[in-house]
Amino acid sequence: MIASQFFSLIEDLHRLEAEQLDVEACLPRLAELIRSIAEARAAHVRCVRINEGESQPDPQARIILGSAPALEDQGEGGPVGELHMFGRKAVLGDMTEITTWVEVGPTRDGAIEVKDDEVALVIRSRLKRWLVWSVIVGRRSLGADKTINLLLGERINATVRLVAQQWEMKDRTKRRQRFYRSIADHEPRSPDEDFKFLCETWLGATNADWCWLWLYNPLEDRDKFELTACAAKDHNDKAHYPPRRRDIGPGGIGDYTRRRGCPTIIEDIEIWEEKIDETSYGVLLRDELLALGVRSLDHIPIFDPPNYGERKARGLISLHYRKPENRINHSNDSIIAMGVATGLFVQYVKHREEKDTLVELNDLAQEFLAKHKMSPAEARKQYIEELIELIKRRLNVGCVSLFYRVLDREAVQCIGTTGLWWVEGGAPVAPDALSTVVYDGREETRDRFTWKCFSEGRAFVEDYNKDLFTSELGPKVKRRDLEPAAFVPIFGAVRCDLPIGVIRCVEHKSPVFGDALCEFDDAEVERLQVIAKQVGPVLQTFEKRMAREQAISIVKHDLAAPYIMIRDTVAGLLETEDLTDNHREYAFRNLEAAGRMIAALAETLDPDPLGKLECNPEPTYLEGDIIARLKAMMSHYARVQQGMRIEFEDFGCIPKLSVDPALVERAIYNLLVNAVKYGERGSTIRVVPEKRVGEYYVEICNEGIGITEVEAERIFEPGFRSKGAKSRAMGLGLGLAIAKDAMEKTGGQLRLTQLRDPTGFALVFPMKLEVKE
Amino acid sequence: MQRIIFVDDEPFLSQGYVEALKNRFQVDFLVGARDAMNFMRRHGEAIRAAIVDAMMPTPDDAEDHETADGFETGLWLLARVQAELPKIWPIPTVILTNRSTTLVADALRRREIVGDMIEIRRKLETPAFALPKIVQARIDRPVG
Repeated sequence: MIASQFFSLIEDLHRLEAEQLDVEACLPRLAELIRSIAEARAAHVRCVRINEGESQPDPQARIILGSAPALEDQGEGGPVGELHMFGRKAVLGDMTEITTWVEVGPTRDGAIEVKDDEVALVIRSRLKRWLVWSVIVGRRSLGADKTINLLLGERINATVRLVAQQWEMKDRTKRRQRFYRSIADHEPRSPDEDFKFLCETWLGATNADWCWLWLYNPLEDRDKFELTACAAKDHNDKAHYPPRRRDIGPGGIGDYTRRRGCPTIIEDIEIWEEKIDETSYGVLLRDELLALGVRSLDHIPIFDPPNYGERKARGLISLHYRKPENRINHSNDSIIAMGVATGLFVQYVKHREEKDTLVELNDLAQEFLAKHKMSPAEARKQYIEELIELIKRRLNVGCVSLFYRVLDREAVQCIGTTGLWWVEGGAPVAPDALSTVVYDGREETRDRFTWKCFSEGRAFVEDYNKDLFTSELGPKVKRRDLEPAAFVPIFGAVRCDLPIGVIRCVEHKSPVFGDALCEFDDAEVERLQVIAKQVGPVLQTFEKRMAREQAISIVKHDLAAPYIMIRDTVAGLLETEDLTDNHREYAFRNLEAAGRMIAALAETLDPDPLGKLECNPEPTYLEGDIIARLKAMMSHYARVQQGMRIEFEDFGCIPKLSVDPALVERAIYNLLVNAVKYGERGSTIRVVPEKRVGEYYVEICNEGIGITEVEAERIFEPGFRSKGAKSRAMGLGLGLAIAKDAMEKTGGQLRLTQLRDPTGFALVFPMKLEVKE
Repeated sequence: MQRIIFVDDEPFLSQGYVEALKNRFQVDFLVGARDAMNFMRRHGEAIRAAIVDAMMPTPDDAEDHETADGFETGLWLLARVQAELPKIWPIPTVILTNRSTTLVADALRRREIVGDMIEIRRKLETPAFALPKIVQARIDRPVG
């Protein structure tokens, strides 16, 4: 009978599952159950909630009243300290289960009509966080035998405990349901806010006093859990945040939990000596924890779904309790499942952040790459400014700098920053001097972090206060503490070993400790890498556009010059009445050279100047068909330009060859122009044909700026210009590349024969090109 | 004869201008900014006017960014003269260039090259025979 009623009550509780747990709603059922057990005429149940961690109810708390059906509503209940039943005051001072035995008398409690032969029995019980008084009204004979009543009291108490367990189970289930629903319904805002929300959700699910979220950082030299978010049950309870940045390194309980892949639950840190003392918790010494008021703690591993099978935790949830009895004891499996759900949430937040960042980066790239009316340099500058703002906002950093490779030099150059500090005097670099900030790998800079990131092509973080511009600071330098910095390489669209730039972030602000600076964690470095991956191709596009714009400017400039020469020469011819042969010859050579320059320049404007070369071989005498055309013109050009002479030796040793005369002429012209441009004023250029074993050889030598060994490796590379060449003449660096390509297309070769004093290039024609008569 | 300098990196292509100027001035043709700076240090006080190309190679003693990769080497030279040789500055100057005059004027402002003695002329619109008169007018122009 009683069992069936009890199970009926349990069923009722199940029906309430879809609603919030409501003790008050269950009280009438409990009262009915107790009435049945006691075989009493009536029963009512009074309940008062006990605050967490307290053993006695709050004196201000209100008693919740539930009545068995036979009793009328007893109204508001009463103050906790007093219980008036049937005109008597029941004292609730102790915890004895049967608190009061009262005779039935005239009642002051509402409309209950009590007969003379009845008694009331008050039984005090303890539910999970409720004090319960069961007031049973029955026949006087019920109370005649106190032994029977004691047994009755025990039975009622046992029933109440069963109900309490059921309520607790329902409470756990409800909290887990709320936990899953909360993280499933959560609208992400920013990782910092989302991770804090996650901690708060754990607090709600477990009744912990505060919760810390740690994410594992597998970066080189890190290999530890880093504090990513905190939440305290009392939001003003800042004292319960960790007092300073600490990470969980190897050997701590966090690491122990990670390796086991199971929750570590320490009911009472005071009696769990062994590991606490040894590991210091990896974060705080036990004494520090005790000082914070921690008595009990849980470590729950967080799994990324793909890693769940391997049980390698990607992070940890630390739950701390002031009172061990406050914990809500979810089952081990439930806790692991919540850890997996947390891993999913963390992954989702990161993916969501990544997606949002990608969308924003894409919009940024589209906006600035489409600014065709703006110069590429200006568009890139504005793009970088916006990009830096994006990184600052997304990564919560104070200072961002972008570096880009310097072509033809082992160096990276600052192309945008929110503020760099220059080593000289520790003063900030002026905004217009940004381009002067160059990390040069050839100098004593190899130990510098930006250069290290660029040359090694890997991301890393530095967490010690050291000026990033130099490893050794002089006494005059005011060192500014550049806080933990992250360096991430930027790769181009086609990834190769060498990056094209570096993103450097410093002054990282902590999501946990307000404005305090803190290290970058793995997730943040990953986010930076995602940004760098998107930025690389955009910067490369700008680089190409800038190079092309520069090339067009140079060619446009250079095209105007021969035109002006033609214009002025023709005007001179028209104005001069008595032209001598010399005048005519001079003017003719000017016009011829100018015309040839225009032709050569026009060809370089082709998007692929090398790809357009076609070969139409025909029997050709180098001297008669090519040199003869160039000789007078180039000699004139060399004389006027640099006061130089060109000596052409006899080409008798070279027979008729099957080559494309246009290609060979182009190669020779380019070599001679270079020989003049980069030659010593007043010196002589020599063109020396020679027959060698298996090949015919035409060497063009000049005395001039020369070529270094390092430059020699790249001298035929399209676009490459040596430092000496740059200081002597403007140009695109295509002359030698075109000459080499022209020679190869026609079956020959172009070789660098001497680096300097004199510098020599040789046109090589294999003997198989010889035309047999 | 008044002594002037003509600074350009292309002697061959500048012949027309130089020949035309020689009818009226004593012309020193200087190849590139480094030669020009050295010449000014030695003979600056004797020079009455300068004709300077804007776009020339970056000299050895300057960084690429200082001359905007050579696009503003002529202006870098003027700024250097202004800073280093205040006794001879301002020199009546014609910037003779193939670049847009607006771009060059912007660069002059940006580099804070002061003085109303500078005239910008495009080569395309300046025939050789017209240059001597332009230079003379610049020399004769009252200061202020």
